[in-house]
Amino acid sequence: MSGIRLTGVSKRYGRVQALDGIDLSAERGITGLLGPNGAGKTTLLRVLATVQAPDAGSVELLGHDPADAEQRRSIRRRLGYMPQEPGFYDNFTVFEFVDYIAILKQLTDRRKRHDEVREVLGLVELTAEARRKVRDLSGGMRRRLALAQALLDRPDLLLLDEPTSGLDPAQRLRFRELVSQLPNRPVVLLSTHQTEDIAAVCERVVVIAAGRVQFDGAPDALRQVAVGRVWISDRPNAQTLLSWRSGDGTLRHVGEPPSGADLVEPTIDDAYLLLSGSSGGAS
Amino acid sequence: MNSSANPPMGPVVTALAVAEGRHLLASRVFWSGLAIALLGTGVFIRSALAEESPTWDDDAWTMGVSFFLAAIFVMVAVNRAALRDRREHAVEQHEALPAPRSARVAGLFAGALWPAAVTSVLVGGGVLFAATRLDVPAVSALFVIHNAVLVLMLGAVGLVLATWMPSPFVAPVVAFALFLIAPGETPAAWHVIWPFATLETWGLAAWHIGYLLALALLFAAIASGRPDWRRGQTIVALMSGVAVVVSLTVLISGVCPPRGPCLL
Repeated sequence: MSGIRLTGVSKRYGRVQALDGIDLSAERGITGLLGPNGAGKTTLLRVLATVQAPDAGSVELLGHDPADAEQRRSIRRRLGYMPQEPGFYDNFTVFEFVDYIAILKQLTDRRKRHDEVREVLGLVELTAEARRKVRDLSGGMRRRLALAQALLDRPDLLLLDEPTSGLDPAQRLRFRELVSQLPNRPVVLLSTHQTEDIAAVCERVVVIAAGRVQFDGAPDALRQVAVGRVWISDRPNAQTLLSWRSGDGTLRHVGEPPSGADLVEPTIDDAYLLLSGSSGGAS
Repeated sequence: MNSSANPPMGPVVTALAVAEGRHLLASRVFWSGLAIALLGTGVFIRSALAEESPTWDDDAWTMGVSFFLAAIFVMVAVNRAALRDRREHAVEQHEALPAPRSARVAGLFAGALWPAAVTSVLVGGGVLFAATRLDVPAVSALFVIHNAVLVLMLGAVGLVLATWMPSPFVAPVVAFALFLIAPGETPAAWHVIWPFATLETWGLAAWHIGYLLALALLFAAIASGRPDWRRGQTIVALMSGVAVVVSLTVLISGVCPPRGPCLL
């Protein structure tokens, strides 16, 4: 199965260059997308979800060209998309909502469709809420509902935009388990600010800033970017990019260390901070 | 699970029609209209029972108006359903699904058959009751079919408004305008959708039903033509447009007085 191939993809909104010549390819497995707010992650996912056409560059998804209407429909049949701000039908029950989306995904055999709806609701642990109105769900439950509709019909391409935002720690761990054990092992693009999620489940991480790919490699390789650039001391240092006091009272610094600094093992957060270049963007 | 060839949209439209029809029947807007229809039917039954010599022409008018108002409520309900994506900010995620907007419009249009069926069963009950008490012309049986196509046509109006004027305020304004002209007895502009103007002869009544059906198809085609206007929609729009003009011409010549103002 072909995954995704993007070559020189650009997208501009007025004066804002959201994507600036992105080259990216991905096969089966989980790829994490990291980047500060406004980096272009959501625009990139919209292009991949076929809801937005790029201004320039070529896009190939699952072996199809999304610019062609029939091929776009073929892609959409095999696509699962959880947008950053999913919309729900508040008057529908949980089951009705997912069932409605399943119809739009062309699952027209009623019995099979209902089995599929029950299965995805089970995957996100919403079976007990199936008869509840969507308007009565908590924020975390709505997030899981959005994930459930994206998982319908075992998509070959799964695009998840901030899927764990609003989930409690247990639900986040459950999400990791779920997404890392999807039976058909689809191409998954996971856009998130949660670097722990990236470290936990992603085989690969792509860092985007200002519409460009700043890093593309394994999470461990990303962490290596910060090796030798994280240290602890008991005094502030004006040269650091960022520093904060740890629970043990020492100051942890990220940046160019002074000679003789007490270096420590970096995290993905540290490397991401160094790549994105400022603390302001690392929300 | 996935096959490479894209399946036809017919089964999607059918499944959507079932889902949308169910939701239309459950909507508060539809129930409000139904309450008016039941009220009008109740008034009709009461007056038919109370009067010494009730007549169909005098007493059924209340019921006719109430079902006309119920059909207007269906228009608003369909419009609200068609605007659901915008209201709930779900447009983006639905654009990533394989069923095009035209399939969803077709599903909603077919879904309006459910409220059409429910109200028509009630109309049928009213006509049957009337037949036990009054001298009801046989052609009045077509009121049942007329009501169904009227609901379908006004449902399609709701779709057109949602497509081309996608604001939640437009349909209520149009509904209010229809309310204002609904109770009139003059054979003026609106009588082209009023059943009793033609429920006198089988021929005229049949033309009237055909006219409403053509109008419904025309509106449905126009509603499904956004964002992509395709050949199929053009063909349906052209054919139904011709049918509208022909049937309207027959109706005008059949209903309007030879020299009097009719459609003014």
